[in-house]
Amino acid sequence: MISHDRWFLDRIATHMLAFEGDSKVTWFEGNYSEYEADRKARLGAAADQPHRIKYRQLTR
Amino acid sequence: MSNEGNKVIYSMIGVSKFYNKKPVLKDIYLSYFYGAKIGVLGLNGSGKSSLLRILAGVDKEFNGKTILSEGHTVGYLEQEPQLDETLTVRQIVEQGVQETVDLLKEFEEINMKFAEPMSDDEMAALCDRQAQVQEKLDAQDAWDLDSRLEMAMDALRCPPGETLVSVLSGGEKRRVALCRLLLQKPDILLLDEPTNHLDAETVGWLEQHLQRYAGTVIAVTHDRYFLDNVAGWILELDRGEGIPWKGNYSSWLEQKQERLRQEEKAESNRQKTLERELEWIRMSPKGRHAKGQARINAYEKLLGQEGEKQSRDLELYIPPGPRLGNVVIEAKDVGKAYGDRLLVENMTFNLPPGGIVGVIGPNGAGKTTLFRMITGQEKPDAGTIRTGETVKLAYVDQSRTLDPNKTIWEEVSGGQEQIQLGKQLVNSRGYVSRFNFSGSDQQKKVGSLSGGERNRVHLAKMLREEANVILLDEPTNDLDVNTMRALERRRWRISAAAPW
Repeated sequence: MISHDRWFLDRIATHMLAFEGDSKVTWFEGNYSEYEADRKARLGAAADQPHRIKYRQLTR
Repeated sequence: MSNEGNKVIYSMIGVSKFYNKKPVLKDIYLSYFYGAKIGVLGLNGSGKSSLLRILAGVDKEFNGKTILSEGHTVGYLEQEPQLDETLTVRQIVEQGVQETVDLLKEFEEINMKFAEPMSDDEMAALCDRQAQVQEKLDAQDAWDLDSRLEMAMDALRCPPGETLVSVLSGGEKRRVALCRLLLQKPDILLLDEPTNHLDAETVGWLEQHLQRYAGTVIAVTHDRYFLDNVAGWILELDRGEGIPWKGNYSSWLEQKQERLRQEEKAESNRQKTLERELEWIRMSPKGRHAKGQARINAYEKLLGQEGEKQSRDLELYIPPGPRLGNVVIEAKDVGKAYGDRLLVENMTFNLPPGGIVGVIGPNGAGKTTLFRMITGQEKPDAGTIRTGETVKLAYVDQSRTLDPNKTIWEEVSGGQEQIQLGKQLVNSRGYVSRFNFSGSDQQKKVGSLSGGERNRVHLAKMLREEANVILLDEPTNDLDVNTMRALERRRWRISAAAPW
């Protein structure tokens, strides 16, 4: 389910599949809040500031 | 500013609004404090957007009046903002800081003029003007405007500045409009579903921004976390009434439940009174002797009271599909590119039976592409995506291709009185009513529906299919709180082997 509704995701999701930028997709076992806590632990303060999505380039 | 806390900045005095003679807002008296953060709640069609349009001054066709305290400004984010199609993203965003942009332009022009020949007097006047403009620019912190704009556009994940507005999607337009609005910093921010089309990360950022926002924020939203994190007041619109509550969403819910219980009690008290009165009226003339005509009048009055019906809770039904095997969806080292952009690289996961996966990330990151790869509409460039042999997919996508000329009932039931749901044959009108469409609603043409209603029709249509893996693309956009709660409750009823 593609959704941005955090309330909803917390109550029904068993797993998260997160597109985190730089072509990286993270598979996580747990609901949205648990995923957020994990992401904050991984990224620190940078997790609070969204940026435009970046893609890895196929050709450099 | 300690006294700002109780300063009324905007008032509604006896505001009523009718659509086709049906009241949407009934005689509303409300005052809004400066700096208050207000979340507006209510079912679809309860007049939330109407309220915002009236406050924004866009809708002037209403009874009663609104008073904005002098010298204050109002800014409004519509659900579908209208932007000048001939401009670029950057030009729209610059409108949010128009004064500064104009000053910078003037400053540049002055500098150009210095290169031209002129008299001493002219030179002196130009120097004066330059000093004035510079002072204003200093006061506005204008010298880093470029980086400020870039930061704002980056935080809201706006498309690149040179992109033409005419090629933007609805969601992108909203981001650009929101960016412009936040830069304008009006005293009253009116936001209609600000979190729709925003990814969770951006919503988190927006919450923090609004918490610190000096002015008043009035937001219509279905996003309960947003309400809990931002709102200090809840304004509930219910059957035309506006009921304010001081507190966040969670505390509002509690008192709402209490109020509903009270309402139920009052209802049954009314029943009892009615019964007693009826008894009395049926008594023989002799029996009533001592009692006066006043009692009959009381009965008439009681019957005349408008029995306003409560919004019914609804119940969604998702038929269970055939049993799933152990392999549901398995992705191994999947890579996928669009042009020279690599959307995903080394994506590996294994969806277990019974799992419910929330797919999150910014727009354009590849979420919908993933769904298209799962359904086989697209192929991965590297790695494999395997779906189990027992999997039957249903895909509820955003595009919502529905026939505008059909009625709701026709569109969902295909014109059949009885439809097959799993192993059961059920009445199709009953099935459609579970998506909160009453008998008369079901005769409405699909073309005349609101976004939320159309979404429910689509859900009803797709969930009829016997499937054991359901792919939902933004199912909760424009769904109201009740519908979402029903959808959420469903999850506990679906057979354990049916992931979404």
